[in-house]
Amino acid sequence: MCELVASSPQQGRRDAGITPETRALVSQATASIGLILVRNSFDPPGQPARPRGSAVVVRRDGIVVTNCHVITNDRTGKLYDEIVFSLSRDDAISSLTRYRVKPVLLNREYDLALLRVESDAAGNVIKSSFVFPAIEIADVRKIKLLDELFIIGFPQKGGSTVTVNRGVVEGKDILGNWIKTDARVIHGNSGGAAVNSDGKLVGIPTKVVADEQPIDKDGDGFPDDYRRYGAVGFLRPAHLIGEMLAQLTRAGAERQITASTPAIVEASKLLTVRGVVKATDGKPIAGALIGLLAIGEPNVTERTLLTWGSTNGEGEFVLNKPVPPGRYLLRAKALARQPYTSDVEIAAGSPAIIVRMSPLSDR
Amino acid sequence: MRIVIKLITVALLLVGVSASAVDAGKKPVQKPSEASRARGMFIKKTSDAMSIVVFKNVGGSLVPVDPGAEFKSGDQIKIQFASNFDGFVYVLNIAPGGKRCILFPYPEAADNAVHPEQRYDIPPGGDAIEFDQEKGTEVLQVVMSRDRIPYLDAALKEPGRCLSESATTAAAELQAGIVKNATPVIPQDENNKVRSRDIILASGKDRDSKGGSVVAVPDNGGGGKLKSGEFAPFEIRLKHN
Repeated sequence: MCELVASSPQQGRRDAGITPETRALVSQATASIGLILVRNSFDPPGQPARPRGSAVVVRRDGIVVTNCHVITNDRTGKLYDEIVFSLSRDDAISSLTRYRVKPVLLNREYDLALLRVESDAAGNVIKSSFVFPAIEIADVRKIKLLDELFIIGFPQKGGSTVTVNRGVVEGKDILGNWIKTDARVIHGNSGGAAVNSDGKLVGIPTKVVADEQPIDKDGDGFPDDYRRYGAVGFLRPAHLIGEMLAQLTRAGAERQITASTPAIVEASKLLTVRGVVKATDGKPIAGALIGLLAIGEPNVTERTLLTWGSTNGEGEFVLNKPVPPGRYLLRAKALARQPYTSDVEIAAGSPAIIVRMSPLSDR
Repeated sequence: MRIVIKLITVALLLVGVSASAVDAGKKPVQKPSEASRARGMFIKKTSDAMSIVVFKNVGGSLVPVDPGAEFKSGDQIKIQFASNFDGFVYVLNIAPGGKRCILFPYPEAADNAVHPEQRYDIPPGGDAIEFDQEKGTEVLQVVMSRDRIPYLDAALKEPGRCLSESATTAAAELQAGIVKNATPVIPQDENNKVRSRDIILASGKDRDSKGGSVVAVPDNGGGGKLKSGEFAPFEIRLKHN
């Protein structure tokens, strides 16, 4: 588990100014960042939800990312019973922007959680047509040392309005999945955003490691004070969020048909999808590409494509990522064949899928 | 299959190649009259066409082989083709596991533009394609086109030059065949005019005695010439047991 373990005074800021374009893009990004407030069911009646950390809207239908530790009770280790997400505003946090959210996907290894907006603060269901201000996720591979970063969030010492500060990329720990920064990251920034100068999400502020040395002033062997020499902020890189969103889409497809699916997906029974693609005359089609999407997905994108694979010389395919049982949209494309789309049921023990593709000349 | 670097004595024994194992889609041609017509179209250039020969390394010499022959692990082959038109050719290998990787243009080649009167070797120089331990049907998918095919060009930039290795490229191919800002050509959509054309596949010796299989686009409806946006795919299936 990762937590903010200490605060980090901001380093002396460089003199370089910020271009008007960067200022505008970062300001625009703040609209996607909000405050997480939490409450236990056993809290005294009337006790309001209390600020706990930050979160970022990463999908326009109301999917929000934060840190696991932001929504987890430190003492019990359990998720808070009530979690409220309040979107950023220039003025003080307003009840008008508050939403009730539920965890839908937890990755405890990376200390990341996806939450889904369930209703507004009053319990009214949000219309499906409502569009949340989702942030754009940056290509983390392109991030270089000393690239500029902006930390956006709701640090506890920053009051009730969104707070932005600035730093640089100090390092990338690819194996450990960390981006290191000198930007100020303090309690309350957890789960917020680190954006680049284009306002795109680079990482999630997750922990700070401070260099503090004890000072024994009176020589009694016990420290009387601590001296801080510096701190390094650690961000979880944004590509992890893309992977979690894809995982969530797979789980979401399952939930559409299975009411008993647990609300939080941590592990599921996954099935490998196999099949064969043939021409209408029965001959196998080699080199056809097959993919599965959630039912209702109109477009194939890297986020909506759940699993895919191509056929061999016998027309056989095995899709590359197992999926939960459920109903999916299957799409297939092959050279000189009409595109193929159909719903398919994926269940344990079901036979291999058979796809029959027509030649273009049959149009 | 994998490409290995091995110096081979280039001794092309030019003999006829049977095309009986070559799948040309709707028309696996066996009729002599149709075969000679296709060869005629290739030689006289009345139709855009290709001549393809598969060579096997036999004791250091390259010998034309029937693609329908069975190959074993360790066998080495080389493919030679010629076109009678100015256009573009892509050759993909579809492995027994379904993985699709581009063999031509090869990494060293700056372009996959083809021109008449030239022969092209896959792989080039002293390299050969060696059958690895993955048994099954190795498919060589050949695509003739008047224009570049954007999604195949995009695959050339991918690691290993393979298609749909990432969710991004797979989604682009499934969605519309559009990769980034490229113009869609393949796969086909309702609204574009791309279409495949039937292929005549001729077997046996060419009239010019250079040997090989001749593939031609028939001259029905379009004069035998590939138009802009058209492509003509066909397959050579190699059995690896």
